[in-house]
Amino acid sequence: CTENFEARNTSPTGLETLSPEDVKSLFPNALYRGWNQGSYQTGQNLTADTYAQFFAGTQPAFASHRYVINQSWMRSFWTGTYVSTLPSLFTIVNETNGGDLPTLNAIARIWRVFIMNRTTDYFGPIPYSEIGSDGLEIAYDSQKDIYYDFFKELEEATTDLKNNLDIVSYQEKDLIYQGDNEKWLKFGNTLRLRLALRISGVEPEMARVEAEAALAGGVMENYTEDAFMAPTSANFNGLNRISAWNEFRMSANMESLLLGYNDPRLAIYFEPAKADGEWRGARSGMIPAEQTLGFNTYDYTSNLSSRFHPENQSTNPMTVMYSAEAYFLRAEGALNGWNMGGTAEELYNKGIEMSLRTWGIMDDAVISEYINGTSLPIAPAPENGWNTPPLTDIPVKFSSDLEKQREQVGTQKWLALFPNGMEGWAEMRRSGYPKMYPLIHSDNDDIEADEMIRRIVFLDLERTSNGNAVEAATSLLGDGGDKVSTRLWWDVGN
Amino acid sequence: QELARQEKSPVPYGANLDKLVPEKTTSNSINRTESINADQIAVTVSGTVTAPDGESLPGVNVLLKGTNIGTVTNLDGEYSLSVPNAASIIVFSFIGYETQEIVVNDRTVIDVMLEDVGGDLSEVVVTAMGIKREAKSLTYSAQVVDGSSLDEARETNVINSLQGKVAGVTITRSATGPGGNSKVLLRGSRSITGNNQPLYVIDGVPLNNSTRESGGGSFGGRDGGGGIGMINPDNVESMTVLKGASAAAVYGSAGQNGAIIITTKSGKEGKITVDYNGGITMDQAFALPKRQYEYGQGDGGVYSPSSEHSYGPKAEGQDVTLWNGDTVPLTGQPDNVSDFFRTGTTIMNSISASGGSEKMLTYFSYGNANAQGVLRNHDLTRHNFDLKIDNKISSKLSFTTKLTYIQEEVDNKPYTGERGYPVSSIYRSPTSIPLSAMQEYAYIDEAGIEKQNYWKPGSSILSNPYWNLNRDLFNEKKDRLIGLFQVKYEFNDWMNLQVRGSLDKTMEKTERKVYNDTYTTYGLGSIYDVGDYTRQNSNVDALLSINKGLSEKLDLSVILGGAVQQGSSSSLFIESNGLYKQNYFFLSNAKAPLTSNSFYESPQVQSLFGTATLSYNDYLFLEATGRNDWSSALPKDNQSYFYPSVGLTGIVTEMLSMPKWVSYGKVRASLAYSGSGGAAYRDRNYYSVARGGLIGTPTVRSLPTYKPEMTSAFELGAEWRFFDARLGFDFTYYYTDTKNQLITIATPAASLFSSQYINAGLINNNGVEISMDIVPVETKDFVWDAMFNFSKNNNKIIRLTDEITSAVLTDDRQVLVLAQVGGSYGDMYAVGWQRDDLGRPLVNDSGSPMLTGGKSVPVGNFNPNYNLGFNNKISYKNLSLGFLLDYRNGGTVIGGTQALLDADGHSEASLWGREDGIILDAYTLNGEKNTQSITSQSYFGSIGERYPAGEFYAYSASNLRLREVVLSYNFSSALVSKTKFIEKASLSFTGRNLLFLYKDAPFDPELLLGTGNAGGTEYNSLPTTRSMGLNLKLTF
Repeated sequence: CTENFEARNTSPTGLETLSPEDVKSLFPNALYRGWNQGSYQTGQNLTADTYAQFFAGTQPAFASHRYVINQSWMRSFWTGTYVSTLPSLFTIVNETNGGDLPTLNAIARIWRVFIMNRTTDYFGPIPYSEIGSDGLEIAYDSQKDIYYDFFKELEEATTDLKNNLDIVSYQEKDLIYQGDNEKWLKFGNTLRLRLALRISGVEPEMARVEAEAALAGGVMENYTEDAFMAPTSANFNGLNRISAWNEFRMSANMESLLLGYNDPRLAIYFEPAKADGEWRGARSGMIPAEQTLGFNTYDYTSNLSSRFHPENQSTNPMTVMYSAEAYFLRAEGALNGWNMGGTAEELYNKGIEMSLRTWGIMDDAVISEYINGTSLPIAPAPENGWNTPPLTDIPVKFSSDLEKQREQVGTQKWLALFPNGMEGWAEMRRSGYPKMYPLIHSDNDDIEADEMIRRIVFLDLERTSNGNAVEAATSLLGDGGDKVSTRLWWDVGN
Repeated sequence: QELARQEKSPVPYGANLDKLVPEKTTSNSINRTESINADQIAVTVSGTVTAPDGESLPGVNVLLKGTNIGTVTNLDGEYSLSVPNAASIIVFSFIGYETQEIVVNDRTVIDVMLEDVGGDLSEVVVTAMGIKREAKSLTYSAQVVDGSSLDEARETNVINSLQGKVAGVTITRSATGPGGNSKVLLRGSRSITGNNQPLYVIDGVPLNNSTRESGGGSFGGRDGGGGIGMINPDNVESMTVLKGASAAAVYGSAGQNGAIIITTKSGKEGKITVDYNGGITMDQAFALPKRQYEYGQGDGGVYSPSSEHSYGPKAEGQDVTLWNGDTVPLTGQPDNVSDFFRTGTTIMNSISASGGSEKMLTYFSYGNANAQGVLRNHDLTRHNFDLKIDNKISSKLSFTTKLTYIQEEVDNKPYTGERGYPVSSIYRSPTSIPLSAMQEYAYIDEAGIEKQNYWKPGSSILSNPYWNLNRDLFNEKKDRLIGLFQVKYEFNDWMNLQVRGSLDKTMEKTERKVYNDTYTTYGLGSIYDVGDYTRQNSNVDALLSINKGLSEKLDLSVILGGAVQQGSSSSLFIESNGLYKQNYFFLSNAKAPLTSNSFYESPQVQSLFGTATLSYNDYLFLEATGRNDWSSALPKDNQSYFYPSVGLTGIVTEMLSMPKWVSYGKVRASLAYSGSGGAAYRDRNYYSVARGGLIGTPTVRSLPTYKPEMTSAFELGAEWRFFDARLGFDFTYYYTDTKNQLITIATPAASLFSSQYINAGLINNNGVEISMDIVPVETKDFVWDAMFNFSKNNNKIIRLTDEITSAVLTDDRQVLVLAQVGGSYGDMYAVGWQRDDLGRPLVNDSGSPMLTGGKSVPVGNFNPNYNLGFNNKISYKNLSLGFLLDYRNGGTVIGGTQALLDADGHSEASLWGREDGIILDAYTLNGEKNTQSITSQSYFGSIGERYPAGEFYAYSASNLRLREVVLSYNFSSALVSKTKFIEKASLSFTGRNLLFLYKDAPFDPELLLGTGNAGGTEYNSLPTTRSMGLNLKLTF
């Protein structure tokens, strides 16, 4: 009597095939899980955000801010990409390839590049061309090959999208633009511009071509086009969720710049220290005995402002990409001599303006005053116990010196990227800007405290499940080997 | 009570009406039924002679000793004999039975029960499907534990009472106190990623032993309790442990890890008897972590009122200001942890009534358990109702109906692991903060809102332990119904048919209330969750039994049967995303409630099976079984699988003539296969529909070619008894291969799956089990029974697949547990100390230990090398003392709590180098001897903390403990009879888990985080408890 076995062995709650509507329903997970990167706290906040020195670590139990790679945390980042995010995106792309849903296909491909870019910029070589293979070993691709494919993907996807702007896409399932194809087109081109600048050291000519093509395709120009992801009660803002745990505080870098520049974003990003109402940052890389002493403790240092507090985790929109960044990218392109539709100074000033507008600062006088500011960064809190000089000597007002201009563009972009530490850390590695304070201590024997960590090492998880491929990938890293001190392919600058 | 000779104790027939075994009587097997004044004159003595099964024995020789005066018993076993005086001795003898000599004394009626030779011939064992078998005919090991050894030193979870009493059984309990589950392994682990625990069968009803949650890893889960743990221990008549595949072959898939067959008490013919069993037990936490009290709260030698560490200044009574503003002298508070826990109490009462006529037997019992855990908010209440009716409609037709209803409510069963906040917060509190300051766990702020009173407000992991006890609450309620209906028809005296249907259904509700300002609510304020869970198993089977003599010496018994088994579960869980009005726990007050539900159906397994036993002269038995299963979980072409077994056993002492001191000898051999059809929905990939209608992708790649798993088990055994059965051995050797396992292995994540199912592997388990029982002293008044149980299991992973040589069992807190080819199940790897080519540990420039980059240092295996139990019962007249020593050798366990307390400076170990620093005995990368000094806080901070370097915290799990002590007094019948209504009474003092005579780990190494396949890691465990109590048993 086994006639009913087929029915019994068919899951009553699972789906074996997907309708077009089901395909759209894959997208919210792909967006949110991709943004949340496995776990926002461990995948981004305690790593990239810390390495970008947006924040300094105040939790004695954590060591990632002393350059120690916690394999379990990175495992959740890795599976966050490959197991939680990419399956949805690959399913959408496969289900819509060549079909009558070209906008679903194009937007999914743009987002796939966004996610893969964040992943390769952590590790360098990663599995890319063989993703989805059913073999027991999946080879890693060189970062160069991956970037080359990113540009091909973005070109095709933005072209497809441009040709089909009238075809509806994800509508309410699109947590970023609610189905606005034109905004996705600008997002795709801005991403292309970002990647172009990323390779501007290692492949300058290709970078110029890609950047100019991106600009011609139309990049983000106004803060109303900023990419924010809408949270829900289930898709909370990961940064809000962890901000009350007192595990990180404003960095000394932020303190030096924001206070030195009288930056109107200071009170938007942070709040004064609870204990004495002062604005105070903390140095990165303290050991527990230092973290728990006096002015280094979380009581005496500045936490995130209330918009980032847990009670707003279901309402505070999640940063994906800002229009301000597009201007800073163009400003740097202009400094490189590329045709970026304006002078470096115009684009730099526009970037600052757009960032302030993003955060609700609409008063033209305030904006103009900041852009023309000549005050310099300050020396952060001497009472912290370290004699910390000002981070640098540049004001906001655009300089006439080319190298200073580059530093200004990098520094203002960094301030504008907040709290996107993924991009912040990547650009600090590439451009060397903004300058960084050395860590108080490095607990990683492969790197000194005054050096910038260049990458995340490969995962134990991969060594046990994909060992040969990891071995092969190590040789793709060059002489440096699988260490945090080894530079990625595009990391050829300062 | 024959605790020390379980193999020999008779197991009553239960529902089998025609063969009731009487209660075993006192050692001389005489029922004193009448007495008169005795003069030295001739008297006539009469009486009845019976066999141990209660049947009367005709033809027994009854002889006056030293004469040839005598008689034989008649067809009803009755005799009458004239003897010269009260000092006369009567000799009763009969072939196959022990000869007895009895002094007449003052009696005129002497009823005699003759013991079988060797005491074993008529022993009956309840085997698979509730089929009763003569023990001597079994071709495999089946160890029986008599219920009377479980109902004195009682555990709320009856299965824990088996520990140390049966060879080859390993029981480890989850560290959650009352209501917690236990992990039971019979002969080690077979399955890499599947279930390794045995099947529980109660009166033929396969129990649903699944649980809401199994405790989880080091982050912690809330153990949902197991099905077996809810059973009333007092109702257990016996437990038969069928360890091998051959024993469980008849249960198919569900029994492939062995089975524990529980027979509950039945009504007994005759007048109504009422039994009462009541006891109270006190539980005390012990083996607590060793903390230091020389240095106070703070860091780097400096006092800090908000520090969570004890690396502050020397505590010399100097005044300091606490976080709450109070000024107190800085002194160590050595009683904080022990005072935080309370003395737990467990009160268990049960009353049962039994009686009936030849036609109908009824057994009813009610039991309740009230347990208070050592955590002050942890309580368990349980009510058990059991009704069993055996009804003989006619000489051919009989019914058995059984109904069990259980209600259990548990408040605040703690999380295991890091989320066990009350435990972690008290363990990890600075050693100088007075407990009284912590006890004021809340205050009202200026806005009128209740806030947590903690020295480091908003801390990410820790909090005020008393806040955790009072403001983070969890309640679970279970209602469970187990029903059985059985019909038996006797066609004639050699054939009967039995049809049986059963259901085991548990309905469970959970409720969680977390108050505002609890730091772990992710800023949501207060939280309220409710859950509703249902689990059930159903089973229908039919058995046709044929038992026919083929010739004078040859008997054939055949059982043919068919069965259908199926299980299902569903759940509905609603979690609030904060509450509108704080601390008002009601769903309509929930913000954006999130709902999730699930439904799962286990595969339906249909089976046909048969077993045939051919016996020659009642001393040689050949048995063969065959079973075919059809499992709905398997792909269409693989749904059917067949597995046979064959076994041979011979009673050597009856086949050959042996010296008189050899009382009984048996050898046995069997080869058995068992199959498993696995779990449902594994042959296809499914997209899931999640909350809000979002679609999710599968994370485990399916296996369209899914094949059933097969275990082959070869077993050799010998049972020998010597010197009138005062010395006995039971020896078993087994060799088990498990093939075609359905396991999940990690895939490269870029496959877009985290893991995949494969049919793989060849895992071998082999080992020996030896039980030895010995009666060193046996006099009329004084008996000493002792039993040793020894078991050793060797596990070897022989093959996974051609490509895969290693599978990850768990990867938790930097400890990797692997199953790798050439190794054995549960090999552990951890972060360790980097060493140079000469094997010397390395330090970096600052003198800190250099740790390995990955989890590359082998630290052992979590399974024991061997287990030894030593069980004793010493009786003197009405007084008896039993004690059980339990020894486990080997196995590794990682001490997570120690790693935390070291890094925090709370542990005694962290006193090392407080004043002068630590210069590690190690070398630099240049090969120079280390001269750099580091602080104690820096050293322990680098090896300990939440993600410790496991090599530094690997302990041997070896331990020797006094597991059980029972001192009991049976009130003499003369005394009891004065009460008129009490028939029997006994009072016992009981102790469980009294002390460790030896252990290496700084905690009880046999407490588990969860009951899954992982093991070997301790993390913030609730302390182990020592129990002492009193127990009273009365029969009316």
